[in-house]
Amino acid sequence: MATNDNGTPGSPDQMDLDRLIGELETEAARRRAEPGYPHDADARLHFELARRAPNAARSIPLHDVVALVEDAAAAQTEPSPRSGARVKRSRRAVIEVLRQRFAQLDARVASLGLAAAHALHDVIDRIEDLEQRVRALEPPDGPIGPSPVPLEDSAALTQWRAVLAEGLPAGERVLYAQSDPDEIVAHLRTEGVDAYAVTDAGSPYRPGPDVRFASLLDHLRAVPDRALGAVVLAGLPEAMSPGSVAPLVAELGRVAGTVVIISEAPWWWRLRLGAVNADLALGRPLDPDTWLHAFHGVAMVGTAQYDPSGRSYRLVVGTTV
Amino acid sequence: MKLGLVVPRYGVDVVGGIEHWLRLLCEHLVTLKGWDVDVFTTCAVSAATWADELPPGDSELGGVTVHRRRSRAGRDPRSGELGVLIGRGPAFVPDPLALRFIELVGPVCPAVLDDAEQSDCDLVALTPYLFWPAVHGAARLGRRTIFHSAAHDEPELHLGIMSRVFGAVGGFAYNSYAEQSLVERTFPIAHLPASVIGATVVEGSGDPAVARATLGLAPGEPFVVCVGRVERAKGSHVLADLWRLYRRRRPGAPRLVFLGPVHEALEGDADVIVAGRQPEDVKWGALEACEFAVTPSAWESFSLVVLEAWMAGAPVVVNRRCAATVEHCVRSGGGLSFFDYADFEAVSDRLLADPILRERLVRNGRSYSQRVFNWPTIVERYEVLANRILVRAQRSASVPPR
Repeated sequence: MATNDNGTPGSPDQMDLDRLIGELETEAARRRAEPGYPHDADARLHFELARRAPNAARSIPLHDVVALVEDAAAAQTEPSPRSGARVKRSRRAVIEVLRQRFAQLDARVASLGLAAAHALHDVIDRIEDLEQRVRALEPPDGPIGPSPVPLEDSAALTQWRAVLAEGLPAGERVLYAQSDPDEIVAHLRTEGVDAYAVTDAGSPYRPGPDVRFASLLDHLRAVPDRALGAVVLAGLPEAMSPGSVAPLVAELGRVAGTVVIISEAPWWWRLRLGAVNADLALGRPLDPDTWLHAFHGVAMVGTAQYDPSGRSYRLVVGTTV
Repeated sequence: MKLGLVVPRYGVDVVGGIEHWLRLLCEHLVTLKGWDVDVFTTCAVSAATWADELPPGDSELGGVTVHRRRSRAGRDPRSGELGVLIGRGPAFVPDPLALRFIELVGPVCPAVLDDAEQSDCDLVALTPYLFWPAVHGAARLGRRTIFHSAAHDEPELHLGIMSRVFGAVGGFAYNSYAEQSLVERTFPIAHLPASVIGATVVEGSGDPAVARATLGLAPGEPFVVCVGRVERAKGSHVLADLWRLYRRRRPGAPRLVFLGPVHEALEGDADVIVAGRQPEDVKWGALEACEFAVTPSAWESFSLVVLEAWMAGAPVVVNRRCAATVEHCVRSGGGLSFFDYADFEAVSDRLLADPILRERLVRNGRSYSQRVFNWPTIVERYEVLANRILVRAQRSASVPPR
């Protein structure tokens, strides 16, 4: 598809840019340590550069949040006795003063909420970062090691292609995630489905129209309630990390009326990990019943169907059967 | 397809990234896709004042019909002071104050929105997010809108009212992945149709010798160039200071030339030449002749100048705080970046001393510009996006809300 060609990474000249940047950073560090380096001028310029640059809203220090809490707690909600003593105010004026004070209090509480949310985001990001680092340290054959690509995933998905659009609500936005996003979105669109895709696999520099590069969970968190008619996930169980099922199901239940999950090669993962490790307590739900149980928790029910070979399954859940 | 475009200023004399780029896009949609395009705009040329400089009325430019209306108010100087206050905590600014700020920023021109709303255009492109026409147009034009937000991570983006602006439109045409990522993590709009369209430049040419002479440089004198508006927000003044410090530590280093309209005064001296606005051929000649080009701004949603530099044969150095320009450099392998003075010095030393590296960077950058941002690809991407938004707009008009 011509419109999908939005560039590929790399370049005709295979220069090792990372290495060059590394050399330059080392060189810069060496200069900073040199006697006579203009630290004062550097600091002033650094300040100027920083003040005319995006200010990461997330980097609100925790002590600022504490200050906001104290500020909000100390906020006065009564009219000042001094101002009341000076002049006799009309009922309307008193109401206006109160309104202003409550508006100020409201703004303080709102800022507190936002600041707390930012701080919480920092914590979550840090935890996710640490989880990734821990995962990277696990031996490749460990139960929670990084997920390799399942064997012949596209071949398994092909079996479900004919019924991919079946049961999807007409006229509503449909999110597709995981395997072959460009291709599947194009296929769904030919079936008249208003589809777009999100993927965190592969190069971020090979997008097509309406293919977003983001983690599925992050993307769903940015979607308003009930904004999607359906979400179709293919190859998902295999690619999930333990512990991510519950938040994913919660988000799916919030944003979508229907969820379709196509598990492409559960058998392969079961062989690889063993049935218990593979499907324990929502860790990596290779079994459709585990999914159904999880969705039951967000008031979604549905059914699962295996392909004739019994090697892959398709699960459809919705708020109504 | 009939496309409308609501933009604060439009025309060949308009210097400004998104406005210039959208004019080219409209003209290419007419020639390559056979679309009808109507532009709804003010009589302004300068974004610093939004003063009515062009005559109101209807005209044609490059196959595009242009409807100009007089503004009720231009840019109020008080908007700058209010902007500083808003910058301290944009998310906490009450809506009436934010709307007042937008009014002061201008251009206040309800007639433009009336025209667009009453037009028979299938879709209306709206840009950029910060000015009065977009803030008020998004609500009025709703899902018929393709939003070219041209957003970057500046305080105004975090005003509470912006959530409603971004949430009202039909879909998004982004300049870069950095912009898409920023907008999608700031507003709950990730489900709406969107595509990274990018932008491109019309390659020009110029004579390096003429450019040097015009800029006050000696024949063959090496120099470094910064192309674009000279203003603090664009990083011009801090770049001048960086270069002065560099020349103090490297007395034989080339001079730095600023080439572009001066919006905030910047004094030239022995280290720095402020050439002001120059004809296009001088710009292209300068880019061809320079050792490298610097784009110091941290607030860019695309930066056409980076592409222009590569096309002309100049490697680029960008501010590492700017996600969009860094994205170009990383994707292409055609540029380097700096974060502070030590980086800047190391990068400048290396580039000035290594012509082979400069050549390789340019080759990568040029190849990237030609491959990713060529007109047929861009208008194709735009058409696909427009069709998605149109289908949704038609559906939402016929399906009652849930």
